[in-house]
Amino acid sequence: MPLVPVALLVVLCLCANGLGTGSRKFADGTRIHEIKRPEEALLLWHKADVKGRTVLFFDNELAIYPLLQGSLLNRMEMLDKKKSLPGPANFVSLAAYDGIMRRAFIVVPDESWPDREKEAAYFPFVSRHNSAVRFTIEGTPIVITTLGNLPEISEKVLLYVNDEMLPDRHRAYVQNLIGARRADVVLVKRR
Amino acid sequence: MLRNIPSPYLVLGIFILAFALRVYNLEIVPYPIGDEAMHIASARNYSERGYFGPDNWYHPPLKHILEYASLEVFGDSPSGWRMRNVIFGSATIAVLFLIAGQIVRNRAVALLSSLLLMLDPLHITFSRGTFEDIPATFFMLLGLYFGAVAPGDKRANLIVSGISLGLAISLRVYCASALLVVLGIRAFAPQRKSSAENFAWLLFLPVTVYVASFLPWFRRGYSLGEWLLMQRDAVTEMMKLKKESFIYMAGVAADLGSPPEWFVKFIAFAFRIGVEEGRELLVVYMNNPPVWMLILPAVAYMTYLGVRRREQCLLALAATFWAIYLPFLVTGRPLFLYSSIPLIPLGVLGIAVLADRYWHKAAKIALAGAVSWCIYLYPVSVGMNLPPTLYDALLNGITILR
Repeated sequence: MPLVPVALLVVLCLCANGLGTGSRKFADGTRIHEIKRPEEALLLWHKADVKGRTVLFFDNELAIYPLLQGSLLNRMEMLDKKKSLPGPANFVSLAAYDGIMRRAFIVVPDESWPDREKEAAYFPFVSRHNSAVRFTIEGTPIVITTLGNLPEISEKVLLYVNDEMLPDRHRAYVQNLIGARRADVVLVKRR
Repeated sequence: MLRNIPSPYLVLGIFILAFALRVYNLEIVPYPIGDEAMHIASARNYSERGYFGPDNWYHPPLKHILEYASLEVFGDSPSGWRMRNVIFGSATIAVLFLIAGQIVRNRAVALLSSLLLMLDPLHITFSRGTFEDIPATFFMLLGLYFGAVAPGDKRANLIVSGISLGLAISLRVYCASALLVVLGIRAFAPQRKSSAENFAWLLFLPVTVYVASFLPWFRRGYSLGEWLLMQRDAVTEMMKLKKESFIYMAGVAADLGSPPEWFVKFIAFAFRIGVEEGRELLVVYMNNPPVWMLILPAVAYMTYLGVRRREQCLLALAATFWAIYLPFLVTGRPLFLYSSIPLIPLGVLGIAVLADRYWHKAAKIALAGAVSWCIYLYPVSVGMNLPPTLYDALLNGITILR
């Protein structure tokens, strides 16, 4: 069998993988910011000049329907060659659009998981598997899950924490992440 | 059989004529209509930042790159938006002529069949738009030509076929049927290159092209493993598309044509683009029953002939037609008239084979009549301002979307 076409594919895959992982941008050290409104996150991520990142949301207010609505809002604006103003409904999809977020995990308290499953059942394109719900916003994967089912994430993450409804277990996990310098930009939302 | 490659000047002349017919009055609609706004925005988003939206993200992304190239070369204008399809739509006719030249004895039949596609109203209308089915069909036909129709058995043919089919699949996934057909034909063709060589070029090259079309997306920070997950997500989302996913078209879906109806009844709908001198100006999308009603029997005949004579060219073309059309018939999601675009050239080639076999006076008159009918429809396809009485009987009562 001629090796040239096989080699071409292998080289391309290696290059694509290197291009992708090499495009991720991290901030120096660990920065912790307090925010009052969710959309401030977008401004701070831009300031930190981070790109292509995994975002960990510890926020029980984030749900499938509002996230999809926010994405739809952005879509409509794009058709008019405009960019949406960031707000609570669409800052997550704008983070994806701006290339800051390439994937997201939303960690919810164990007791709210049944409600999340019920919500997911309304959307045929949302996949449910092993206490995790997976869907996409314009191809950007978002997983809603509980802390016990959060997969191992080897890279540094962007942390978004809603401090008002954070269970103790989640708080300990977040503090551990910060202590181990596995989060470079930490945003804590408090009223 | 007409085994010679026709003169390049003749092929070029066919391209130029097709181009002239498609580019005429291209700016008649000075703003994006239908899905054009979505396609234009997605072209910029994907090429500049690797972001799929606002178009449906689960479709292959090469269309965005080609559309972006058209915008950059021809400008962000009605011509710039649509020139990609004008060029590829015209080039499709030239490739069709090359293929026809290999499967029919009479050059007149090859030329007339090229005219049938050149003047097909649906192919013209979509060659003046932004739907990716037009360039996808071009690359699919090119891949079929070099993979299964062109004479000789050179490695260069394999390479061009592999790249073309990769480009086709990177535009529309249904073009994978053509790749499977070419692989199948070559696997059972004793006089062709070894199976290993066929397999290597015709499988790895298309996959390479397909992966390469996602390079802008990789630039967003994704790894190869995440690309595989994304492909799975795309398949999951496509498989779950149902009629309810197109709820915004629920009221008119029945008028937009479904696969069982494409080749057996008249289907037409239009976008209203304005009013001039008290008359509605419309962009009309329609099939062409006097020609299209011949397609299914013609392709069936081409299949029969291909099997009986063991003619690989005919088998490749017929098999590709059925491999695309039959799944369309049974899929759960709605498919509208524009999804028939890849089938039209294959159907026209079937008509060419049928006409060539029975090339006597009646067939000549019928073919000439079909071409004349297409010429009559041409002004409707390009929005020419002609007396409405000429077309009232044809367009009376069609669904108007806007």
